[in-house]
Amino acid sequence: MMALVAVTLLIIGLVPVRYLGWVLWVREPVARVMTPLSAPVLSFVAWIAPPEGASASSEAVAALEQNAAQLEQLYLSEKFENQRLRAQIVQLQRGIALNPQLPVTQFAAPVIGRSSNPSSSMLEVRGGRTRGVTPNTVAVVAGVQLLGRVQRATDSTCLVLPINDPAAGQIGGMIAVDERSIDGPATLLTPTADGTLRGDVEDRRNADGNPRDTIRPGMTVRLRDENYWPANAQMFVLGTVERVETAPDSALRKVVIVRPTVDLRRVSEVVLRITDQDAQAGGTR
Amino acid sequence: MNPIAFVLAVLVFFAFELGFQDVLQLGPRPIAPSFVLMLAVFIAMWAKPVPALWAGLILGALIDLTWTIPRTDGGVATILGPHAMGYMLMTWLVLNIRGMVIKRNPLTMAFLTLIGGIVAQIVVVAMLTIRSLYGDPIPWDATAELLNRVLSAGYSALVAVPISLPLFALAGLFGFHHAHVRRPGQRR
Repeated sequence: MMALVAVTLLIIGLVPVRYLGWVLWVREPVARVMTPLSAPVLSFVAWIAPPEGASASSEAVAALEQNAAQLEQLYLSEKFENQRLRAQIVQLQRGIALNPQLPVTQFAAPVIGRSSNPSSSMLEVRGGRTRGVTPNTVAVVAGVQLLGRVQRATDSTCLVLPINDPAAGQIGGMIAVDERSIDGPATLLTPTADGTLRGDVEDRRNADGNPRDTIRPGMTVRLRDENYWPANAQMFVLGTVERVETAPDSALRKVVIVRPTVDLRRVSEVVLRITDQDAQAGGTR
Repeated sequence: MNPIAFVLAVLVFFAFELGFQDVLQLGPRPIAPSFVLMLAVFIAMWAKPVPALWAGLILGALIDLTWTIPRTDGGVATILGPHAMGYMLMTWLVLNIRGMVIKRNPLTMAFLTLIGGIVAQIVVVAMLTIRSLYGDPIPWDATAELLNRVLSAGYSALVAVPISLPLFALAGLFGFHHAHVRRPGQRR
């Protein structure tokens, strides 16, 4: 009996992943039992060792700081949206059909589980298809920090892949040289093994040939990736510039190392942003 | 082995596994202790061979089922088998060497966790590397994974020393009757 089970598991373990969709259905009842068990431990851990980014100041100050950051994000997002709509008008005038802009609804959902393997930072969140969550729904934390995208949704839960997971792929960003501007140098960031994102910075020059932008540590980097991320996610914060380096293969190019403003592996609650466009706009590089 | 004690231990150790992993992680790399590995080693040290092998298989399968792997073509995958086979082989290894070690010593638990963990992780990395050879859409860096997993086994071995103390004390609850401690002054 045991030999039979072992051989079966060995075969299943080597079968191509496209034939293993049914394992996800087996996983669900197991996850339903196992993930809530970790909730008290996670609460205890959050109490004794709050994640980085949790402000030490009073709750009222923290709430005000978050409010300010949200308003700033909203301002930039509206500015970006305005620019996008202007471009749409131009396109409409050329006769191109576009999807109607639909409002975003969002709700807070607790993180109820994590992957048993530390090499995967996938988060299991309570919020599924019954609440409108679909693959590619955008998840944010701390008001304006982009967490990632839903990879899979069941009726009651979903799995979110953080942007700094090496499996998440590249993500386009804009370095906010001026905090009120959406016209910053572009960067295509790649997740690294240490939880940061790394990418080349667009080299913009003035008419006299001098560099147009000075990138400094501490600058905010925001999402600007219309091809692979839905419109409702644009201008959310990817992180702050931690270091600026010179590209190893070219002394003229700059490389930024960006760290998310909160530890994305240790968030306890996320905000899921639902639109009908999510499923249409998604994709992977 | 007492099945109720086993189920309760599985629930508690999985809660620790999923709950403490992030806070105990060493730096930014995914190097963290595995509490389920420690439980599997403990059972392999004390249980009869057949129940111990079943326990290893079940614990490994549960690890597989709670490990979601993002796919490079979108979506997620769960692969049943690598940890199940790894933990089963680890149990077999411990069963074969447990007669040569002083079981009651926490350092023994640490040593067996180290070598058992390394063997289990080699199996996991080997199976997933084979998959990557035929182009499975799973991001996989065998060298980095092996390094992180071997270091995690070492970290688990360190954590196994304090964890072994309550486990040894509770060995009787699991029905490991030969595991009872002989108190000082007690006749042989």
